[in-house]
Amino acid sequence: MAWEIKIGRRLLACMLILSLLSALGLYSAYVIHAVPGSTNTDIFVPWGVMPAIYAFFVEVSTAGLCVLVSLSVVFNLNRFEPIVRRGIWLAIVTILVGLLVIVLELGRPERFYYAMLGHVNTSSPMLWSIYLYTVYFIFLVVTALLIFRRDFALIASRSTGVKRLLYRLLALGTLDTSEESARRDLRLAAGVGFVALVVGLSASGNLGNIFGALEHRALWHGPFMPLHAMFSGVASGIAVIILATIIAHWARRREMEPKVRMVLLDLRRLLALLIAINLLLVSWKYVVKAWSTSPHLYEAVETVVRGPLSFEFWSFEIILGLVVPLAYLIIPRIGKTLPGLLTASFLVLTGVFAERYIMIVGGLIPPVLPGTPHGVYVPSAMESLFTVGIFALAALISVVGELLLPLDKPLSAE
Amino acid sequence: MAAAFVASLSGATITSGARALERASQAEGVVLWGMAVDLTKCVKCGVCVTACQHKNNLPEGIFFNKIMTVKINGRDYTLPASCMHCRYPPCLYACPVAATYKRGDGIVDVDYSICIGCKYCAAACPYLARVPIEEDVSHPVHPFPKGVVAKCDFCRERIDAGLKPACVEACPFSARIFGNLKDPNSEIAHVLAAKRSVVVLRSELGTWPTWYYILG
Repeated sequence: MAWEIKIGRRLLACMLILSLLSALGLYSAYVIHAVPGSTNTDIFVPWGVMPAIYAFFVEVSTAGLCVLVSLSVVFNLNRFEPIVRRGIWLAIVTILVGLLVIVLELGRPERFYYAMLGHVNTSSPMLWSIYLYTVYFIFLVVTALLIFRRDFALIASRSTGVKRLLYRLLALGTLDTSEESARRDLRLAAGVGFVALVVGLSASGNLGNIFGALEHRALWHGPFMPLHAMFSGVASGIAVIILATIIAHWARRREMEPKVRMVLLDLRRLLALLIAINLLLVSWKYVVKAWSTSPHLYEAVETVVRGPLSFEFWSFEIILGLVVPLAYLIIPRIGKTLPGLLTASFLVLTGVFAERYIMIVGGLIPPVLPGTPHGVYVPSAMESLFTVGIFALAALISVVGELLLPLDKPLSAE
Repeated sequence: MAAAFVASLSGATITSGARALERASQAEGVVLWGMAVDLTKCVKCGVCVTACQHKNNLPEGIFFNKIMTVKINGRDYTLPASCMHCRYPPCLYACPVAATYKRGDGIVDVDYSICIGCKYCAAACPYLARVPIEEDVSHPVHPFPKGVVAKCDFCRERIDAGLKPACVEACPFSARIFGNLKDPNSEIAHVLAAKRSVVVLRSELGTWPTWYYILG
């Protein structure tokens, strides 16, 4: 076999802790549904931290990792090849976790598939989200299967019984492991991946559309929302792949190949560029509204910039999430080292998560009827536990993929 | 005073009742249910709120019909409000599964067997009329299952039986007038036609509420 599963004592402990936290997170989801009043949402702030987690994860997948994977798979930029396998696996993990969160956030989670049953309202941006995510997920998984097909076929041909059957299924039925079949897989993956990219980016922008379409929510309304959701999504995707690649190498105590290191340094420049773009988008988003001639737009900006969310905004979204990582990345002595890259990526993710939270809660807090009091929202204990648990769950599933899939193998070679 | 305050609250231009009726009459159909709250008669006693909660069997702290507190120039004012039953309801456009629908008579209603509880309608409603329900609510005619986002339906089963909504019936000062806006002989048409200043909330959004505040 090209790779082996080795679980050391430290990794086992790590996975146990992650499993425990995930279980606690899922338990909190149960409590949220079973006990009225276990969230702090109300008619003023109907959405809280759970939709923010959802937005964070789906944007990592649809905007970030999907674009990064397609650089090599669709556009043949071969230098980005070393991140393809890990990237597409994490894209599947993050979209799954994101959709799990939004299903759990529904008041009636068991009805999540109703839009597929013909209960359809085409004027709702959310309906298009549901469809786009579904199509995106299917094309993403097929792309991934094509990329991993030869590896699965190899395992199937070397094993017997149920395992053989399972891997044969994953290998799309064929046991062909020739070079020719691998080339054909990649050609197909380019086509399927292109559809995944287009649909993914549409889904990514459409998430912003859900918010931007509401005229009376002064902080949300306008075309900035889809743009900002996409660009911060790309930044978060780059940060996730840098983080995962470095941690995977460290955990295996494996020297990083020069090719992989080169990609990370390329990603460093890309990430710096995207942080700069996001700084511009955030600034103009708020500046336009702060200097607006209508008072309710100004009032909406005020809740974020110097109101109830100002601490989170300035410290997490702006300073820690954008300014500090940008400085880290452009100073070569920090940005070109692995710890520097790791720290910058972690900070970017913190910032993007803060951005999602502030965007959603901050859009809901200002009064919709001028003169009525501001909404109040702080995540409840159960919502906080859920947040921790979901991030642990995402990490846990990612680690399982690291163990079961050849994520560090180059795309084309045996 | 009241006129100035509601006008500043709603950001709306005050029109005459006749103009409001004329606008409403452009809607399709022969029946368009509407509500007028006469703020010159309303003393904010809260009986309508209790009547609504009682009739809909709502849990404590959950209101379809509520009295909002509004602070203007340091003074607290109150404003009774519920679903405005807009002609162009943002919540209906937002609902992904078409659980929110509009009846032929203008009532914006929800099919609670379809609602998935995404709460997009609550985010989309400019009048805070959509209420996430966190526990099962029993009711002889329309029980709400836990998790859906409910709202005022103008007591549709009472209207269908020829009665008035519970809040209208309960108001001790007859400050609430309910009726068919398209029928020139209805009480609401008579009352509105005689009023010089009538306002709807946030008219600049183009939602065209069928809920009017009479200022005088």
